[in-house]
Amino acid sequence: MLKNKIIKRILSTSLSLLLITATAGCGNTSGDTKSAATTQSSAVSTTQAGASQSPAAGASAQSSEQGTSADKNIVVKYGYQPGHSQVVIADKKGFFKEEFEKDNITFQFSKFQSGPALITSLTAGELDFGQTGDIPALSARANNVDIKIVGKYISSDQVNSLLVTKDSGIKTIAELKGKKIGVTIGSTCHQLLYIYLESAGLKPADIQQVNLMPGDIVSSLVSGNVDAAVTWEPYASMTLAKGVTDKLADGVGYKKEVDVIIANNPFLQQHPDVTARILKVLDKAGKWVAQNQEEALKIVGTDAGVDPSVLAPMFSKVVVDDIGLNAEDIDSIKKSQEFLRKYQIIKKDVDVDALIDTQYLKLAGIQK
Amino acid sequence: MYSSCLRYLRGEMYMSFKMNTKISHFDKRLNILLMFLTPVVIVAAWQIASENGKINASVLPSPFTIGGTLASMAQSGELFQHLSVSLLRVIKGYLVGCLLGITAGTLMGLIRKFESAMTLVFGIIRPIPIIAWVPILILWMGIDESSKVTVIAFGTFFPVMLNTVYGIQSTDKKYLEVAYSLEKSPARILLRVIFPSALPAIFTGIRIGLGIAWMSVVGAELIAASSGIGYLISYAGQLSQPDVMLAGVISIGIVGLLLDILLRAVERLVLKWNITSK
Amino acid sequence: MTDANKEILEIKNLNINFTIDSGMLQVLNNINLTISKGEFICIVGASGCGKSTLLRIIGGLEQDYTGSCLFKGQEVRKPSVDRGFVFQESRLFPWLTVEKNVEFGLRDASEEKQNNNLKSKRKTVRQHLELVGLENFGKAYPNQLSGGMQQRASIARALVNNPDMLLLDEPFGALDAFTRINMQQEILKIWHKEKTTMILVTHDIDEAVYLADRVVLMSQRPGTIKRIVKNDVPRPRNRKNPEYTKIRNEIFEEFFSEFETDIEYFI
Repeated sequence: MLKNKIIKRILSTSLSLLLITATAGCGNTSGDTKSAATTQSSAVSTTQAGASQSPAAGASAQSSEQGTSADKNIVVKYGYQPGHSQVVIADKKGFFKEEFEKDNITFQFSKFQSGPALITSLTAGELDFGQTGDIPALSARANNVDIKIVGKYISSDQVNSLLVTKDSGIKTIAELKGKKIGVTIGSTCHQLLYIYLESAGLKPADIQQVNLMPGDIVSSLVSGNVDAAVTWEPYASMTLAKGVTDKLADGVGYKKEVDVIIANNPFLQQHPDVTARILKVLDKAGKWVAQNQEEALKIVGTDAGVDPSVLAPMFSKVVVDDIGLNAEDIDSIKKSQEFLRKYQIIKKDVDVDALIDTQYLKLAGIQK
Repeated sequence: MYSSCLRYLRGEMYMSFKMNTKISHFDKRLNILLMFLTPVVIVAAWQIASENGKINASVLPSPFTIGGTLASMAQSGELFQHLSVSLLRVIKGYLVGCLLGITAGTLMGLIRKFESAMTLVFGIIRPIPIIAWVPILILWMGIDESSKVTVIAFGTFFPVMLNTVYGIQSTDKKYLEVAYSLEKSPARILLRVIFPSALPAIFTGIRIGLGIAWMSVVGAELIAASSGIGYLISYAGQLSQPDVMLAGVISIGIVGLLLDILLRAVERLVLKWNITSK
Repeated sequence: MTDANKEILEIKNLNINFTIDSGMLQVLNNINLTISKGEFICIVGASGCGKSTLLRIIGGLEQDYTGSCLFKGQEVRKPSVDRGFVFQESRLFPWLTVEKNVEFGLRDASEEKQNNNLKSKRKTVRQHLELVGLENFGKAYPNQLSGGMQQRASIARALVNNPDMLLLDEPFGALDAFTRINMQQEILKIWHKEKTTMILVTHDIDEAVYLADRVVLMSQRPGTIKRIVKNDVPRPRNRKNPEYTKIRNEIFEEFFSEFETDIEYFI
């Protein structure tokens, strides 16, 4: 009968469709070119590339090439954010080149406006290493991205600030109630904002959270689109420099945060020695920055497209010469994990001890 | 099997050419079955691939995960809250955009000089994608409702205006002559002859406009908002919650489809004379 | 001096030119025609002889003519509901029902206070639908009617204001032969009932002879009135009647005099 023939046809077509889709899922993603925007003080910043994600199907990220011999001929894809001094110095002062040129290991750097934006790129398999706050790293791990925290690049309670516009008339944290607060959701400032609210007996629902990239936070504060914002250096200093805002608070008394160096676990497992050497170079760069702050300021400023004088406060506030992870750092990261669980930002626990991997620091001799 | 597939497809093609082939009851049911079967097959294949680890779950969660998230978000009311915020913005912007579009379109369709005057201005503005306007409008109008409603009105305006112009200018001169021979005043001709004649084209315009309005609101909310479905998606993106993102994206698609179905039903009602001529 | 009661349309020395790509074209040359109230006139000629243009001038749809065209003593320079016009296509608005289409023909309410009354409007529309035999199709849409029925509706629309004159521009040209004959009966019926002066343009000689009191023969390039033939054959007319045939042949000769052989003209 014709009907039976047709039904048979449909079933066989659907089955073939199924098979095709299943096998297509095997393919790898190809890395897209990364793009990132640094902020300029006056203009409204452009939309971030990090807001989009690469195509879905693909096994977890791998580094671009496997050398014929284990640790040669690699391109390391490294993501960071404006103002991160160690990596910029290591690149611009030739420390990376010095260490790795002989093995034909090169670095491909990408700048991101925020941790969450960097994480998006990492999740899509475009990065081997990244530098973000602990909050974005924890969120990524909760999303089953196979990463490890291998070191820190900042530990400070002064890197984030709560800024209020002079026009808003806000003098205390309690007065934030009902106001529009700009914050980059998913960043350490997100956590700090909630800590501020807790301290004044407020809940997140008591304010209007406006999700903005740091560059947009600067312009929104200037134009008065938001009454207040929590953001990090150098954006906080950039805003204050414009004279229309006051700083109500920073992390002091609230949270000393740890910003971490993360890496894709597969890369780590394939190139443990390279990782250790990278950490050694970063440590060296950090110490150099501490000794040569003025020159470092100029170099980092150029890289970030920001006036060195605006960056200066950041330098003096953050600890740059030690990239190891001590007990205090680990504890801070664990507290951050608890925060994420408390506010149900992550739906399941992240094992911080498993996430942190100090073996490479030990291998590099930076940590015992 | 390949050749019999080809033969079958060829038969299907010929069937659509023949003018007097009535679609049998069986075929109609078959088509509906196919309509629902396709997404089921896609989702099934996707779920199977996810479970076998062929798909990176950090980037594309399985349909069951997304479905679970969608259900819990619907249950908690979070999803509807954000959807309704976005929908409200769309309605406001859409109505403004339609009103302006029909008005401008009518003026441009009727008055040649006005059309000539506005050709360059509109010609330059039209190709600019709405998304490109969002940062500028935020700069001018802040991150409040007004900037979002404006974005939506903007997006709605052009298709509505263009289709209105087309509808008005393609009024059959024969009808106009009839009205003229019956000594009808220009106002009456506009209202009773030109507009009804242009209505099918205007409806095309407002249907396209609705689609664009809905797309625009999400774009506007991705960049600076404190509520809405676009806000929900970018929020989830920054928290590495692809399941929430996709749940949001899917609900956008569903609402968009529902809106279009609704408008089509309205069109069928208003233009019932048009349908019978098909 | 014209008899104001009897002569409803007076055309004297009418000329009209159209501008086309290659220059000026004289479409009508020295048209002289007088029509009495209640007459049925047919204008017959080949395609392009200007007969439609003449009708349109009488209807007020073409205005750049020289000479005079007087309707009830007034110069005709724009359309009027007193001169109803029926086009070759029915031109009914597809978005309105038949009823509403006919209603559309009614004078704008501001001019005639008595028409403002909805009930009287409905009554008038109903009457005119009955007149053309469409009383059961008021709620139908035009695309649901046959060609003949659509044309009847458009006639009803043109008549709904009870005009003094009805102008028909090849009204049955788009219909098949059977429908055409029916419609010819219909139009005569309407004419007998309403006593409206009828001017019908056609290229069908037989149609003209069947319908008209007088047949105006037009020659082309430029359009002029060749001859006006009086038709006294009593109604209802029989197409086989020798008097009828005689007039038909006469007119046929006027147009096709070069054909010597006696060809019977079939409908």
